[in-house]
Amino acid sequence: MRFHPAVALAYVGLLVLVALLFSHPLRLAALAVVVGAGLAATGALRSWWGSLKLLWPAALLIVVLNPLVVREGATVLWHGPRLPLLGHVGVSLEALVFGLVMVLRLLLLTGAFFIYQRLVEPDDLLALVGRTLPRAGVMLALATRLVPTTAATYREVGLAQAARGVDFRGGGRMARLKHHLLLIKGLLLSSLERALDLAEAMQARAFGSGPRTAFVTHIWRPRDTAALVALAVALMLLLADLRAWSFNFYPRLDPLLAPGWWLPTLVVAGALLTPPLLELGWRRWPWLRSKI
Amino acid sequence: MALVTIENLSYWYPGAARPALDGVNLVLREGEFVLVVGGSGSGKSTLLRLLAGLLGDFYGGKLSGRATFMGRNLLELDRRQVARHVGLVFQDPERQLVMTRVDREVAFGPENLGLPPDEIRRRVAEALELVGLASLAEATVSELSGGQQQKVALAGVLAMHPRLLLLDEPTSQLDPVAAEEILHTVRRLNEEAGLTVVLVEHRLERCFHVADRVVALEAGQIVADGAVRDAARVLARDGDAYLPPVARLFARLGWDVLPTSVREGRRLLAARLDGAIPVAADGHVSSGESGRANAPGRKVGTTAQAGLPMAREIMRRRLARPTEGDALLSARGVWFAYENGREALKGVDLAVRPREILMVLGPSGSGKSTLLKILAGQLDPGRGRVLLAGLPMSGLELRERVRLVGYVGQHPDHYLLQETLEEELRFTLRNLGLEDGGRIADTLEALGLTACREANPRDLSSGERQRAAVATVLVAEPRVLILDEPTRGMDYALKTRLSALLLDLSRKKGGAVVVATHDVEFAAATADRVVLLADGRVVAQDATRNVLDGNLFYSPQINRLLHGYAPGVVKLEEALALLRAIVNEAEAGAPRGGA
Repeated sequence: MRFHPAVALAYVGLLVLVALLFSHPLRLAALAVVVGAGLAATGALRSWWGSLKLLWPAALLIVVLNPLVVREGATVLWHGPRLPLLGHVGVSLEALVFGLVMVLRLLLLTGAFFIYQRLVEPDDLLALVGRTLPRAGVMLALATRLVPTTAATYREVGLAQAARGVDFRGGGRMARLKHHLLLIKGLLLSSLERALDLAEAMQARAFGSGPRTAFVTHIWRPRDTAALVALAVALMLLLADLRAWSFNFYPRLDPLLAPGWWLPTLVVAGALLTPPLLELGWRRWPWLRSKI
Repeated sequence: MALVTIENLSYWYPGAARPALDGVNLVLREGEFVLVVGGSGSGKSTLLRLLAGLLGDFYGGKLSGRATFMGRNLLELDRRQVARHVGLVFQDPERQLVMTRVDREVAFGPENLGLPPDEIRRRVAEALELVGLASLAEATVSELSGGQQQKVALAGVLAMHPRLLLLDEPTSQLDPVAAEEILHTVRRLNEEAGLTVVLVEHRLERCFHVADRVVALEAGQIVADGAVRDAARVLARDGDAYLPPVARLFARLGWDVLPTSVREGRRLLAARLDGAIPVAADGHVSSGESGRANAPGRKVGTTAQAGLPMAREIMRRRLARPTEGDALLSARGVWFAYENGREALKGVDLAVRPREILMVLGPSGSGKSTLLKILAGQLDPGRGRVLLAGLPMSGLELRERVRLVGYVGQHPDHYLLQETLEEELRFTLRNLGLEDGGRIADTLEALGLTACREANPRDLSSGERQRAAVATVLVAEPRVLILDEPTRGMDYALKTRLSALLLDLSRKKGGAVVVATHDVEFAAATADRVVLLADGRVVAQDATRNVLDGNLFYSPQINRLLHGYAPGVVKLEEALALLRAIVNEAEAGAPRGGA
């Protein structure tokens, strides 16, 4: 997606804000549609889906554990036995719904994170902060590059040591610990050497020799204005009706379907869908591309 | 006009007893293309760092003597002034790139110089156009090939508009085609923009002919400095380690004129064998003793064709190697895809036999490293099988596998984590449950590392570290040794030594060796068979001389020199034998009156 990074940041920021601040299940479900569309439009759906492999144990834990330990719900679905430390356990409808909403929120936040990854390059962020905080920006770019490089070095050191008979899976716990410490030593040594090389290369290119300027490549297009207007509309609607977006779970669930709930939800969801839709149109519809 | 003047300059790294540069005197004139040659540790890289103003500022240490840049004291210029005029491209693209996107990476230097954004935009566009990467301006740096990344590094330096461009082995990690592209770009900048270039490079066959001048360093001192031909003659007198193969061949033949490129060599050869008048140092024809061999009336075809069958027969007998026994290690229909879906190998079949050296060549990203990791059992193939002495590799336990198949990857440093070299080797033995029984001493001896036994491996020179990494797997005496790009950054002497070691391993100890390399000259000199990979597929697999014969890039200089005269000749020794036989025969058969 080729939005101006400021618009991209505003879009992702708003998604995170809504996911964090509000808890109305149906409204969050509407937001899930928006995030899904965002993931699809940015091509991040697959990698987000892949991340669920790591997330589902945490999600399961929330869904199972929350009803068991929270006793504030009034609609008890199951009375369990008395357990040491926990006392009487039971499952209430409210605690169950709360757990499910928490999981939905987790999925929304990870989704927003993946969209952010696709939309905002670290260099873009650097360009945005470059004028005021140039060093912080470069550090951010370096740190971003460091993550995959460090992971690759870790793998390579592991392979090199395995080629000398180091068995990272076999042996006792102490042996495994020793081998992993060795791996970390290798990683540290390589990282230090790489850092020195990079520092030398940066110095040769005048880094730190005086005030920097920033290279700006971003173009503000009509679609940036359209997306920003849509985001502003969504934000205003949210702020105008803050209470409707909140939801009380305990002791009893608030009514899900308050009168007229759907209209503002639909408008906010529609506004938040604008950036992914613009992207889709931009890619699929040459006429629209030429106009926005 | 002198751009740089260095007078009696010596430099000691912090804590070093011996100077890295020792009484250097050098004048670089505007617009020159200077090639700096020398062995590992001879001071080449230190010289570049001096010119880039990094010695005092970045490294510290002690410096004596004088260096001026455009008449001003180089050692007192502030960093921004030096960086504005002098650009340095390093060996490893991955270790010099800062940003994640191509155009931003190129803009990094101009941003540091505080240039206005409009000016930066113009320079970035121009620099990317110059290196041919304009279409990849918004690409992610880490997704580019090694050659493209090196071009980005070059563009990043060019965008700073330097007057002096320094290149520290810029092609050592690149395949022949990518290396040629980089050097071509640099040459064009030198010719069309008048940029002064100082290039440090070990792969002399790639760059000797593009330079105007050669400076040779040894132990921090300049031992030869002059126009390419003059320097070549001096270097030939002092042993021919710093000559490209084509010049080395003519030097060993004892001919007066030393060509520096294949084109020149072929011209000389044609003139000499054609019965024409011999060619003088400046390329013009002149009279001389070689006129005897090329008496009027003798045509090249006649001479060459008369000489060839005999010489070829000698070579054939000398070089024919029995392909004995069954394969020691083989891959059958091996496929491999990475998690991102990229298919790195597509149905690879190959086998290496005892007493055989097999080299895997191919462009970056063709699947060489993946293939080697699979052959070493470090990766499991998605489909297909790897067999070790006829048995599936997958059935072996880690220890058994490592005892039988030794693998050294592209980064020797990843192998060296102990306090001393001896401890490194002992560590391998301990892991594999083996006793020393003299193995450590023997391995260190075989690799010429006995003196480094007590040294910390990380303190060794790059060539020594490469050998130390090999020692850590060789100490287990594996039947198969697998090496990934072992000649990176190695000079000719080190490569000759490595070649001898591999030959010793295969011939005397009956082991098999598999090497992935970009170094066509090394492969030609050492390999029995060559596998050429392209896009994950084997496109050629045959005896070295069959695969490396008649290609534009994947042929050694000697082969390109003799193309059309003697097909299939890929080794210097073969060419020497052949040309001596031809010349002797021509001289013997020449009419006496021709003298």
